Amino acid sequence: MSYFRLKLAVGFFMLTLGLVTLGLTGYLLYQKGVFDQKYHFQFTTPSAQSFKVGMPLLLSGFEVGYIDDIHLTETGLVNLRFYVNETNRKWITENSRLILKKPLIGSPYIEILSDRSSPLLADGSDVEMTVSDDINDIIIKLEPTVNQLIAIVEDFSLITEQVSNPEGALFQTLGHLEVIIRDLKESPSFVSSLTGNPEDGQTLSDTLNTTQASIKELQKTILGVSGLVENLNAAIVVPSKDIMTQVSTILTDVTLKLNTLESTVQALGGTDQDILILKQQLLKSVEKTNQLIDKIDYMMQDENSNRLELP
Amino acid sequence: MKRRVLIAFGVFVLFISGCSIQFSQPQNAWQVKAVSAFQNYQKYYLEGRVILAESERRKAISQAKQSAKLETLARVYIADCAIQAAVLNASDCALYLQVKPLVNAPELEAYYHFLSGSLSASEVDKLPSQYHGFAKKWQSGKTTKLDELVLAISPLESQLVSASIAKEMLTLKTLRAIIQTTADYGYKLASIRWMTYLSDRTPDADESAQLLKKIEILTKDS
Repeated sequence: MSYFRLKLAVGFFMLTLGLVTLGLTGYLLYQKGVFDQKYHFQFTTPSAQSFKVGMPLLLSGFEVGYIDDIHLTETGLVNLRFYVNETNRKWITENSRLILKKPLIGSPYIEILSDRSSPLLADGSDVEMTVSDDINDIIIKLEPTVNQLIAIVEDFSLITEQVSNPEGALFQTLGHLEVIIRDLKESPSFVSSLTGNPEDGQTLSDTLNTTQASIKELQKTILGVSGLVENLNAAIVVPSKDIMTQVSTILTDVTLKLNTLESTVQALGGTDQDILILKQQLLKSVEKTNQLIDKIDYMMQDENSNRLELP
Repeated sequence: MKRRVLIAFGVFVLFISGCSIQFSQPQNAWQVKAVSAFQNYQKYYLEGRVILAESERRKAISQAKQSAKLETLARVYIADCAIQAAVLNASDCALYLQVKPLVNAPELEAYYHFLSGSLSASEVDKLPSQYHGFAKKWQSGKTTKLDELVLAISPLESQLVSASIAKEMLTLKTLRAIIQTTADYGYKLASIRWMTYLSDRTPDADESAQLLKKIEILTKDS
C-alpha cells in the first residue's frame, strides 16, 4: 500500500475511534443526566454540621436532588444550595418543605415534603428547612404528659391530705355522725315512737352498729391511702435516675462475671474426663512398678518359702 | 595377656553369680509373695512402722487371695491374730473364723484354740514346736517354771505370743526381761505395749512413772 493511503487509513481509523468514544461518552453522560437542565434552590440553617456536598434529598425514599454548595453567609448563618433535574422539578413547589431528619440510628438525611397542588417554585428560590431530632421529639411529646401526671399526683396528694386530716371537715362530720348514731342507739324507743313500729328501733340500732364499724374502717383506709400517696409522690413521681443507673451498672457487671464463670465451669467440666484418664494411667503405672519390684524381690531372695510359719 | 585373663575371669564370676539368680518364677509365686509380705508386715508392725505394716499386710492378703486354696489366707489371718496378741491387742480373730469352715487345717484350729485359751491336751502336738513345752505346762494348770519356759521360747515373736497368753502369771522380772529383749530388737510398738502393761502391774510407783515417761518420749513426734 502507498504511503498516502496508509496515512489516510490511519487517519480515518483514528477519527472513527474518536467519534465513537465521544459518542459513547456523550451517551453515557446523557443517560446520567449531565446534560439535563438543573434547577437550583437554597435554604439557610444555623449550622452546617449535619450537611455535606453531595448529600441527597429524598422523596419517598428516592434521591431527587443533591446539595452542591455550602457556604457561610455574612450574618454567620449557613446557606446551602441544592439542585434537581427536569424530571424531579415537579416536586419542588411553593409549599414544599425540607426536613433534616436525625434518626437515633443511622446518618442524617434530608426529606422533601411536597405539595403537588401548589405551583412550582421558581428557580433559585429559598425553601423552608426544618431540623427534626428524634430524641428531642420524644422528650417534647412526653413532657406535657409527664407534667400532667405530676400535677395530678400533687392534686391527689392535696385531696388526701385534707381528707385524712383529723381536724378536717370530713373527719369532723364523721365524728358528729358517730355521736348521733350513739344517741339513737341509746334510745330505740324514740325511733319506735316516731315510726309506730316497735321493731324499728332495734333494726335501726343494728344498722347503726354496722355503719359505725364501716366509718371506722373508712377512716383507717383514708389514712392508709394518704400515706401511700406520699410515698408515691416521693418515690415514683420523681424517680432517682442515679439509682437506676447504678443498678444497671451492677447488673451488667454481674452478667459479665457470670459469663466468665460459665466458661470456666465448662472448661473444668471438660477436664473431668482427662483427670479420670490420667488417674487410670497412673494406677496402671503404679501397678506395673509394683509387679517389677515383686519380681526383683523374688529374684534377690536366698530362700523362697511357700509356707507361712506361724509366729 | 594378663588383661585377657582378668576379663575372662570376671565373665566367669558373673556367669556363676547369674546362675544363682532365678529369672523365672515358679507357679506358686503368689504363695511366696504372700509369705514374704507377711514377714515384712510382722517386722514393720512390731517396730511400730504402721503405714508400711498396713501396706504389707494388704499385700499379703491380696497375694493369698490369688488362689482358690484358702489355706494360705487362713494362715495369714491367724498369724495376724497372733501378732495382735503379741502386742497385747485384744482380737477376736474374726477374719480367720470366716475362713475356718472352708479350710481343712487342724494345726490352724489348734493354734486358734491356743490363742483363745481353749486348747485341749490332744491339740498341743499340732502347735508349732516352740510352743510344746509351754503349752503342756499351761494346759496342766501348773505355773511353776512358767517364766523360764516363756523366756526360753524362740523366736521372739513366739515368746511374745506365749507371754501374752500367760501374762497374768508372769513375774515382774520376766516382764522386764521381755521388754529388754523387744528393746534390743527395736520392736518399738511391742516395747511400748509391754511397758504400759508393766506400769499397771508394778507396785513400785517410781518404776511406773519412769515407764510412763519413757512411753511418752517414744510416742512423741519430735
